[in-house]
Amino acid sequence: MKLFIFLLIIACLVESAFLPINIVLILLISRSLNIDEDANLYMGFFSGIFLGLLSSFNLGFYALAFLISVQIIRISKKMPISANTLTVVPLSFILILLLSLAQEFFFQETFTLSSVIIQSLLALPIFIMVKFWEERFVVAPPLKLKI
Amino acid sequence: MFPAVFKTTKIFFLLTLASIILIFFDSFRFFDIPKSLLQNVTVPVQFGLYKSSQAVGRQFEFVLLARKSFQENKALNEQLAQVLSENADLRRRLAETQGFLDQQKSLDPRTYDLVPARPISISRYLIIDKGSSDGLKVGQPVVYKDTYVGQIKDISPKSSSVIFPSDPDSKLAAFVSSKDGRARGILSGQFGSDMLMDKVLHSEPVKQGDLVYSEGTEGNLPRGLVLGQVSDVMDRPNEIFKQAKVKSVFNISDLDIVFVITN
Repeated sequence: MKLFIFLLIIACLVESAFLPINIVLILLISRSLNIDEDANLYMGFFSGIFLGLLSSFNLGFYALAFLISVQIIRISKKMPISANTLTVVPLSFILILLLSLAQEFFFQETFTLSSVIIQSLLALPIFIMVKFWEERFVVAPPLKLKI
Repeated sequence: MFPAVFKTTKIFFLLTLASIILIFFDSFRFFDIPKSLLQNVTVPVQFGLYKSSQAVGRQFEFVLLARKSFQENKALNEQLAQVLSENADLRRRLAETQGFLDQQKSLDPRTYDLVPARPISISRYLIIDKGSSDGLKVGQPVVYKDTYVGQIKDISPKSSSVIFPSDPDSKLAAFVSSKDGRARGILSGQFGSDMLMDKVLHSEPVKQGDLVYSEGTEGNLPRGLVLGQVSDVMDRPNEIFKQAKVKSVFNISDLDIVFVITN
């Protein structure tokens, strides 16, 4: 988790400095889909505040947006379809679109649908990488041969 | 199960409440002082990242520019090839038009019916791009300006073969006209590019540099067309006739257009 927090801090810095991609949100979505724990809420909250600070936005805006996103992911994880790896793409699309719409509404920041689609597709490799990292210590069950 | 869900929901609502409070207070600039203190640390880091990204971006920009330059170069080369092709076409048309005008000056179109034709290949015979469907017939003379090029030997609907006067199968009645007088003879082709004017009487004057003209006794061939120029005279007293070597006045392969006298 320490590495993930470090990654989030770097992502906040990169996103606020030069990268026009919601990389923090994608990271949070990827982790929430992989691991269902309360820490995701805390990470969403604090990374939102940090991103708001770095982006000179309202401190609570991103925090609230990330919290809601994490909670939506947690609810969606109860659905059987969430087991599919590709679920991350439509989920990311919906959440990034909602965040972009909120940014346009509150801060008059225009966005393009193509950018949202690209970010949604980018979520898939990030999700796979996060999954690979988080499951590195999970021991596979021993194989039992039926005789 | 139930306490765990309740706890999670409780955390979510608490953090949501905290976010709303943050939004509210930040809207009234309550956090300006702590924000400015923290930004003293974060802004230099962000600036460093931004400058680094610019430096990296410039490196990639070079690659992109190189790619763009390659594409532009390719497009320009294609355009240049197209322009060169158009230019060649225009030059060919100009040469044809010029040739047509020169031809009209040399042979009066009111006297001769001329059909312009384009040479399409040359070996023993000259192949032109007009044939029987254009009204051409075997035996019709082919000229350029007032110079005889050859005679149609074979014909097909869309092309014709023209036999040169230098071909060994060609024989024409010719005369040499100069200020000293006139000499008549038979111009026959030789193996090579030269022709031989034979059966010239010793008494008739022929000298090097004289022009050889057609007599006009063969079918449609008009009188007075230039057949060539005398390059050498072979005057042997012990022979009945003297001979003269005749060379063409121009290189056939340089021609862009020729004219067939149809009538």
